[in-house]
Amino acid sequence: MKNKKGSRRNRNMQKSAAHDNHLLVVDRFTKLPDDLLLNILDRLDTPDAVRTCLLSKRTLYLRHLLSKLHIWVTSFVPDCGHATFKDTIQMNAAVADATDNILTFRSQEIPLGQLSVGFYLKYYDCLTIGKAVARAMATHNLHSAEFIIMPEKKLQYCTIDDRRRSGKLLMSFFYACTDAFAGLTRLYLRNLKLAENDIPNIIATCKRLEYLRLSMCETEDSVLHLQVEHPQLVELDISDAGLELVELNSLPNLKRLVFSVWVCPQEPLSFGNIPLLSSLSLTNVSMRWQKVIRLSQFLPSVPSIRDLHLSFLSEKIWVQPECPKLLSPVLQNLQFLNLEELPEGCDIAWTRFFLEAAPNLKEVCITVWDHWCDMETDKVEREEQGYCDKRNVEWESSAPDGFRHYNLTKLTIYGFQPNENFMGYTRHVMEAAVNLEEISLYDRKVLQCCEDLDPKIEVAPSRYPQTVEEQELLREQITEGLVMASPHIIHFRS
Amino acid sequence: MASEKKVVFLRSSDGEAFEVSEEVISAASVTIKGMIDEESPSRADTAATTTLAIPNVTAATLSRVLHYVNKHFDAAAVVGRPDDYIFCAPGDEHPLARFDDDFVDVDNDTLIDLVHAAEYLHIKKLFDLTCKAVADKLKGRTIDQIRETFGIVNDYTVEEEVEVYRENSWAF
Repeated sequence: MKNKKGSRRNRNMQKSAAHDNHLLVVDRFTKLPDDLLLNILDRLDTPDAVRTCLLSKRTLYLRHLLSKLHIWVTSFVPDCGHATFKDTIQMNAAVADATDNILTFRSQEIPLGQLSVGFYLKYYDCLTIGKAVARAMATHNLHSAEFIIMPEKKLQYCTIDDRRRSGKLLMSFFYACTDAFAGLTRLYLRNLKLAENDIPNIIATCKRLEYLRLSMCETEDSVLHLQVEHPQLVELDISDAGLELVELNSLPNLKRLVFSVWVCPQEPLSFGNIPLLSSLSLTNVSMRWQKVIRLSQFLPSVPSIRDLHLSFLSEKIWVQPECPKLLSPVLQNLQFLNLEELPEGCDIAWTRFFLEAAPNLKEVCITVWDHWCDMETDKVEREEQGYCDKRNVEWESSAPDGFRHYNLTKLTIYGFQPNENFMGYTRHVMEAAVNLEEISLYDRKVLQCCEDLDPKIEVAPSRYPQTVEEQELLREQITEGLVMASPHIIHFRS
Repeated sequence: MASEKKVVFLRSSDGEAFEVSEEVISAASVTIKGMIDEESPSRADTAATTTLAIPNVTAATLSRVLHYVNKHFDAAAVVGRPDDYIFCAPGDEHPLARFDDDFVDVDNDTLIDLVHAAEYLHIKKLFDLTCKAVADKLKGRTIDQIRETFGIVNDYTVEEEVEVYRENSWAF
C-alpha cells in the first residue's frame, strides 16, 4: 500500500489526534441509527463515504457495510479543482488502493449490489483493480459492475501513437484480467486506437455486458466494418469510431442506441435482429459528399422506435423529408421526437413531415442553433472538407388542405425568433394538433463555452421577445384567426 | 358531500396542533395515511375532525414539514397554476427545484430533525431530499472539516488513529 506521507490531510489528522477540541456543536450526526447513516453514505462517492466512516469509532465499521461502491479518479482531484499530469499518477494509485483495500476487507456475508471503478490506463494500477474486482465477482453476487477506463493524456494532447499505445495497454490489461471483464455489466472506453479484432474480442468476452460505450475508439484504418452480436446488451453508444458500417446483427435486448459522426457516404448502420430497440439517437456533421438518409429505407426493420433524437450540429440536414405513405410504417410507434442543432436562418417547415407520418407522436422538441464553438468557420477548410452552405430543405405537405394530429400534446422550440419561419410553424402545428396542451418557446441556447468565442465571428443578435407586452402581441399574432387554438398554451420560457 | 375539503389536525410532541388537508397529507405521508385509515370506521358520518398525535416531531419541525408537503403534494397548487414559475430558474428540471434547495439550506440540527421526521412520517421525497442534503455537506470534505461541521469528537487514541490511518491511507 502506498503511503503518501506529508499530504495536507495527513498532517491535519495527526494534529487533531493529539487532543480533542472542545466543540460547541453537539454531534447528532454519528448518533443517527446505522440504517439512516448508511442511506446517507450510499449517496456519496465511496471515497467520501469511507472518509466519513473514519470520523469516529462509532462509525468506523460502517465502511464495510456500504451497498454501492463508486470509486473514480474524479473523487481524488486535488482541492484546487484541477489535476496536473503528476496528480493523475497519485489519483490513479489512490483508486487502485481503495478498490483493493475495500474489496479485500469486505465480508462475503454482506451483499454488494453495485460496483463502479473509474481509472486511468496505467498498467499496474489496472492489474490491482482487475484482480480485486475479479475476486469480488467470485465471492459476491454483484448485480452491476462497471469499468470506466480513460487514457492518461487528455484528448487534445493525444497523438495517434499515444492512442495506439493506449489501445495496446488496454488489451494487455484485458487479456490479463479476462475474468473481471467477463463479469462486467457496464463498460466505457474512450480515446483509443485498437487492432482489427479487439472490439469484437471485448464484446465476445464481456458476456454480461448491458451497457457499452465506445467514445473515440477507432480501429486501425484497414478496418471499416464492425459486426455486433450480443445477447445481453441493452444500451450501446458509439461515437467517433471512424467506421464505415456497423452491422447490428443480433442484439435481442438492445433498447437504446446512440451513434454519432460517420465518415461514409451512405447509412452507417444496418439493423438485423433488434426487436426491442425503442430509443435511437443519431448525430452527424453531414458533408457535401454524404447522401441524405431516407428513414423509410433506413429503419424498416426497427419499427419499435419510440424516441428519436437527430442532431445536425448546425450543418446540413441529412435526413430526407418523405411522404406519410412511405414513412408511416416505420414511425408507427414514435412518441418523442427531438431535432437538435438545426442551422439558424433556414426554414424549419420541413420538420412537419414527421408530424404527418407519425400519428402517435406526443412531444416534439426542436433546437435551432448555430453553435459557433463547434463549427468550422474557416472558408478554405469548409470548402476542402466538403461542408455545405446554408440551404432550405425542400418539402411539400402531403395534406395541403390541412390534416389533424390527435396525439401531439407538447411542442418545444429552442432558438425561437419572432419571424414568419417560427411563427408560421407554430401556427401550423397549433392548427393541426387538436389536442396540443403546451408550446414552450425559448431563446437561443448559450453555453459557457460560447463566452470565449472568437470576436471575429459575428453572431446575429437575438430578437427573442423580452417584455410581457411583446410576448402577448406575438401570442395574438400566432393565433390570429385560429378558431380552436388558445393563445394561453404558448409560453415564453427564456 | 364536502369530503374534498376534509382536514385533519396534527399535534406535535410539544402540543401544538396544525391543520392540514386530509387529501394532501394522505398523499404525502404513508404513516399518517395509515393513521387516518385506522380511524376512519369510527369517524364515518361524523362531522368531528380528527386530531392525530405525532409524538416524535416538534412543532418547529412539523411546521416545516407541512410547508414542504403543501408545496409538493397539493395538486391544486402544483398543477393548477402552470405559470407559477417563481421557483423555477431557466434550466431547472423541476419547478420546485429552487424551493427544495432553499428548504434544506438550514443548520445541521434542523436538517437532522427533518431527516428523522421524514423517516418517521414516511415521506419518501422529503426523506431523499434531506438525506441528500446531509450527504452534500460531506462531499469532498476532509475528515477535520466534517468533524468541525458536525461537532464530531475524535475519540481514537493515538495508537488507534495510526492504525486507522495505516489501513485506509488512500482515503487521506
